[in-house]
Amino acid sequence: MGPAAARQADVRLPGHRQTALALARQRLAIGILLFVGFTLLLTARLVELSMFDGEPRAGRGAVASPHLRADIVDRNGIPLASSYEAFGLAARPYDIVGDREELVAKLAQILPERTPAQIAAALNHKGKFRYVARRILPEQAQAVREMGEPGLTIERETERLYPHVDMAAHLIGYTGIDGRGGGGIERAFEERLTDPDLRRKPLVLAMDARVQQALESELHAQMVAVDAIGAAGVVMDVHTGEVLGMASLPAFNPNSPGGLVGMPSHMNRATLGVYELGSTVKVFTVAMAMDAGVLPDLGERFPTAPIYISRHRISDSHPKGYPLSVPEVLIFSSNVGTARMAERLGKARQQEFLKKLGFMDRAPGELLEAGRTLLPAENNWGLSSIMTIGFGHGMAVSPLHLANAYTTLVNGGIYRPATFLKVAEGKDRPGTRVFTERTSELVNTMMRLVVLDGTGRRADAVGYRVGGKTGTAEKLREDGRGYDRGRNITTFAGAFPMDDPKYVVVTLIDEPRGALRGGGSVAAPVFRNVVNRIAPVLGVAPDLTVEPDTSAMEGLWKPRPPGQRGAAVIR
Amino acid sequence: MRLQLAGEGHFGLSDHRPRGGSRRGWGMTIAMVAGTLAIAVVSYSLSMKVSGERAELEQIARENHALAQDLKALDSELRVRMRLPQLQRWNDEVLGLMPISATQYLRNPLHLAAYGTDPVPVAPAPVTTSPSAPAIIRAIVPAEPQQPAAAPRTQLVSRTAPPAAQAAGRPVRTVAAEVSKPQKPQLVKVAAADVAQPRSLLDPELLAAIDAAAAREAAARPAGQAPANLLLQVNMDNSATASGGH
Repeated sequence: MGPAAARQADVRLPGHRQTALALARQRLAIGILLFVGFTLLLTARLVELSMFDGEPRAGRGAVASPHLRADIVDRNGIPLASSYEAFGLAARPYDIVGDREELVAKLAQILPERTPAQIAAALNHKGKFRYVARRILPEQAQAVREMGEPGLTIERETERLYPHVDMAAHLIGYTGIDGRGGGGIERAFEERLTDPDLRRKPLVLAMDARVQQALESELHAQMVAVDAIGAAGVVMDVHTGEVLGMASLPAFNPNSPGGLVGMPSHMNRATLGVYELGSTVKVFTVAMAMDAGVLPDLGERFPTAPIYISRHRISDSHPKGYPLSVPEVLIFSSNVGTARMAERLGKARQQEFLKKLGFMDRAPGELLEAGRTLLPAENNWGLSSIMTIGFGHGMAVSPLHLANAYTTLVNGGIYRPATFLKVAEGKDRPGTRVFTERTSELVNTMMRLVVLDGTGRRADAVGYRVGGKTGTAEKLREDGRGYDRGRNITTFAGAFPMDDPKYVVVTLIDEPRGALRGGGSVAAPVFRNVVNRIAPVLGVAPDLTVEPDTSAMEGLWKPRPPGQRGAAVIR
Repeated sequence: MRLQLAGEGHFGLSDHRPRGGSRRGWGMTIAMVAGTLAIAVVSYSLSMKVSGERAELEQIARENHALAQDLKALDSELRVRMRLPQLQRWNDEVLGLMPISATQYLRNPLHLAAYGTDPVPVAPAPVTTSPSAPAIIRAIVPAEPQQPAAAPRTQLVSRTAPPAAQAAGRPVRTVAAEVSKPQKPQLVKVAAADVAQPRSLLDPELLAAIDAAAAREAAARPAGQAPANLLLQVNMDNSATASGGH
């Protein structure tokens, strides 16, 4: 302490002590307050921890939980897609201590599905981490663990399992390596499936796995039998618009979809593929003409002489040589007759009906793979377009479009867009009226006659009162110059039981080879087999004593002799 | 510096109590310390107990979680093994079950009674035990009965028969199966022998009668011929459909 400071310290002003004391007390009080406050804070936190702490940690596993994505089940609760924890084998090359050659040999024994070269590539990879194999079996994981190599680790990861493998692959879709939906329902309902509040509840589809399996196996059998390049099929409930089955062949395995998304097998032919479906569209032309009032008399006869219009020649593939009544136009699938009806209908009304039937929009339903229909341009929609559309050419729609339009026609005339989700029982879906009930009834009867006495006889599933329409269309030539007679699209679209239609089935075989390439001989038998298999499952009992009332058509067509009607002749 | 100097005087909380009464103070202090200790010990043990319980709970929850995952994995495996395409393959290759044809439906008691007017008089008797359910009888036939390879398939089908037959209320299936394919006497004999041995519910005489009836029927009617009266000869038609399907 210097002399100046000492001198200063000696100086004492009056009141100095009191001031200092007050200051000290004030500081002390602040200190105590701080201390007490801190203690209170700790106490409060302790109380909170001991009394109001959250759930125990058990629920949230440290590793990927299998509940990260909701399951998908069919309408009866059969799982179609579920998540589970799979094992993956990873290599950390820097941590490997053993001899790599030896390690590769051992791993190749444990993992026969990977080649030694692939394993060696992963082990010698210049990085910190690489998968050797994903989705290995528990036994394999155990065997690798027992090797005790620190550079090989077993990873738990959530994997998506599709138990039915390639069944309904296009409808359900698949998930990519990042776990996000890559197609079908998985893609369309990505948000719903990953919503934390909903992912414990499975997503219930309208699909019935048994129906789907029947549809796919019958389509596949026929596809192999006629050496076709593809096939598609749709089964729909006519009153709710639910899609009970939708097949697209060839299919793929969604468990390992690969990166080849552009391949033909990945294209959903039922929703994304649009085809000129040919004569199956004729029933709509007849229904439109009847509804529009341009066909007052079903007994009216339509000549079958070919029509020549602007470079086109419209003629019948089964020419009859005599004028046909309205039911006969459908029974014998007369192009000329339906072209004449379409001509009477005119452009405006035809477009209006097509719009109401959904043919102007993308394919109905929730899937994002919804095909856009091909129609003539507005300024090119002349008389020849009107006529060709009348018998199903010059317009390309997807099989789902067609099935949905058939449900509209047979259910009494009400259009309800297709849905892939289950509709709660007893719940009525709103729809828009397209045809009158009377029209629907009459056309249903005509469709029954097509199967009994017309081109669709091979579709007659005995006892199920099937009705429908065949379709055969030629594909466009590769060089764009007209149609190729050798490459056909054969379809059959129909419903059962025709006295009270409940289900619509559409079958399509793409490019059948062989002598018989018509819809009546290729697609119709598939329809019959499918109906025979799915009707008992769907609760439709066969009845040989019931037939739809055909009295309205009395005298308008010539029934075949009883022994040759429907399936009686072809079995 | 100034503060330090100023601190020479009376600083902080002053104890104004007289030093003399310290015995009572000591007592107080001891009591307080003991009380604090006691409370601390009790609280700590309580806290220990709670955390112990919680750990146990967490352990159980974790186990539950693991079990749920195992269940899911096993369930997935089962689902994969019983996938529909696989069942279809088995059916295509081994079982050869076919969808029911329209003539195989029995809709009402009248239909049922029509079974009784057949050459096999006792056949419908067991069916009457469950009159409420509509009896749907499937024809179990091997996929290609004409081929010599049919022998092992026959066994596979008939092996499933005895347990079904042992259940007292359900001999319908075997009887119907036998009745429905009278044109394959070999197959019928295998099934009949298998069925007759483990079971005493149906007496051998009845089985012999069924066999005889089947043989008679097969002899009387050439294969594939459609019966005249559908209602009366439903079972004969079954056999026609079953064999005609291939």
